[in-house]
Amino acid sequence: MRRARPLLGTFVVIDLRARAPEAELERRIRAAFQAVSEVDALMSFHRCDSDLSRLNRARQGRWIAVHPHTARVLSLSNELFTASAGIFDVRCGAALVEWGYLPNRKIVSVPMALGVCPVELDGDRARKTGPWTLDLGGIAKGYAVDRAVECLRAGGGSGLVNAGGDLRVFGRRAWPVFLREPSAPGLLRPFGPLVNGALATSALYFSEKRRGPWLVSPLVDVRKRKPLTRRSSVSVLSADCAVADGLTKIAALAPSQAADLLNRYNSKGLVLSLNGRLRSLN
Amino acid sequence: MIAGVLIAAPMAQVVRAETYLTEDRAVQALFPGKPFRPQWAELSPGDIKKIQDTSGERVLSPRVRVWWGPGRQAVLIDRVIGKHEYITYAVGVGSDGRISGVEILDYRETRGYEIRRPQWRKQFVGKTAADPLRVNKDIQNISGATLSSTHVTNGIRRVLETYQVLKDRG
Repeated sequence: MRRARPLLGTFVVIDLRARAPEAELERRIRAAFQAVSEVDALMSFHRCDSDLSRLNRARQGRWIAVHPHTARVLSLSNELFTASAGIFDVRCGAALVEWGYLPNRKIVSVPMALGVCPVELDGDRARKTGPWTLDLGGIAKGYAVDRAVECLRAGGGSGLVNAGGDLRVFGRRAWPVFLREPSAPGLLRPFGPLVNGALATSALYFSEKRRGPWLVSPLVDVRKRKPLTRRSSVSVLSADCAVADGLTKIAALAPSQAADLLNRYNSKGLVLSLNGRLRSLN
Repeated sequence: MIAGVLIAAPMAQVVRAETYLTEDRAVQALFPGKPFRPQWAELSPGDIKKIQDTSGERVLSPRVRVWWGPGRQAVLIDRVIGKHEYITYAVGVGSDGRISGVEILDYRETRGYEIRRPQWRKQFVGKTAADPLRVNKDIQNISGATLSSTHVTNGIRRVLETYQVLKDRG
C-alpha cells in the first residue's frame, strides 16, 4: 500500500509491503504519518508554536522546555557542528530569511562565534548561545523519516518512507531507488538496490533562484554567509536518515573535507555531476 | 557536428505520474465506514470573491467536487499546479469546519526539464518535439532535492473557505 501526504513542507510517501488486511496497512501507515506530523509540529520554522519558533523567539541564554524529539535533533545538530568544524550549522535561519527561503522573522545579523555550539542542552531544556535564528530544515526531514520507519517496522514487513527526497527503507526487500540528473532533473539515474538503509540528497535544481544579480540557494555556508552554488548533487547513504540528511549538507558544502566524517559515521558520500559522472567522496 | 544539430532539437518529454487513491477510496480512508455521497457544486461569482478574499488564494474553477457525509462532514477534491507537478488531493473536513485529514490522490510531473549541458543532448539522437509525451507509470522512488508542497498548503486554505461557503447553503 502506498500513500502520500503534504508534510514537512514537501511530500511524504510511505510504501508498506506486509501480509495484512488493507485496513491494518491503512492503520499502520496513518500512524507513521502521525509520527511525521509530530516532528513537523515541533520543528517547523513556519509554525509559531513549534519548539523551534519558541527557541528562536527566546532571548539568548534563556532555557526553553523542549520535546525529547527536539532535544535529540538539537543534540545531533551540535554533534555534527563539532564534528564538521562548523560546516553544519543550524544558525542558517537568518540567511534563509534574507534570501526569501523562510518567512519574515525578526533576524539579527551577527558574526557567528566560531567553535561555540549554537544551542546548549540540559535534558529536555535548550537555550541559544547567541541571538541566532535557527533552522532545522537540514536535518528534521531525515529525523522524521526515522521516526516513521521506527513506527512501521514494529508491525513487520518491508517499507519505504520518502520525505521530499530523504528516504529510508526497512525490512528484507531490496528497493530500487533513483537520483535525478542535476543537468536535467526530469531524467532519473537508477541507483541501488537499497536494503535497510537511508539515502539523502542535496541539490539545487528545484531551489536555486535569483536575488537581484545574485544566485542563491538554501544550502548555506554559515561561516561565509554565502549560498552553495555548485550544481552537482550530493547524496549520502547511511544507516539512518537523520545522519544521512545532515551529512549531505556537510558533503555538499565541503566535499574535499567530508571523507573523514563520512567514514566516521559509517556512511558513503557520492557526487553526481552536471556531466553525468558519479563519483565517491569516500 | 551532430551536437550542433541536436542543440536545436528538444528532447522527448518523459512525464512521471503516480496514482495513490481514487476519490471514493480517499473518502473511505479519511472517514472509514461512513456513508458519503458525491456532488458537483457550483460557486457563484459572489462565492468565489468571498473565498478568494478570505483565503487569499485564487479560485480556478467555479465547479467543486465535494463528497458529503453525516453531520456536514465533507471531503473536497482539489487540484493544484506547481512549477513541476500537478497534484490532485482530498481534504477531509469535520462538521466543525476543521481539517480531519489530507490525502494525495495523484501526482504528475508536468515538465520536460530544460537541459543545461550539450553533452546530454547526445543521448537523444533522432528525438524531436513531435515525439508523443510518454507517461511513465512505474513507481520510482527518488532521492533528490526537495519539492515544496506550499501550493497544496495554500490550496487547503482555499478548500476550507470553500467548505464554509458550501456548508452554509444547507
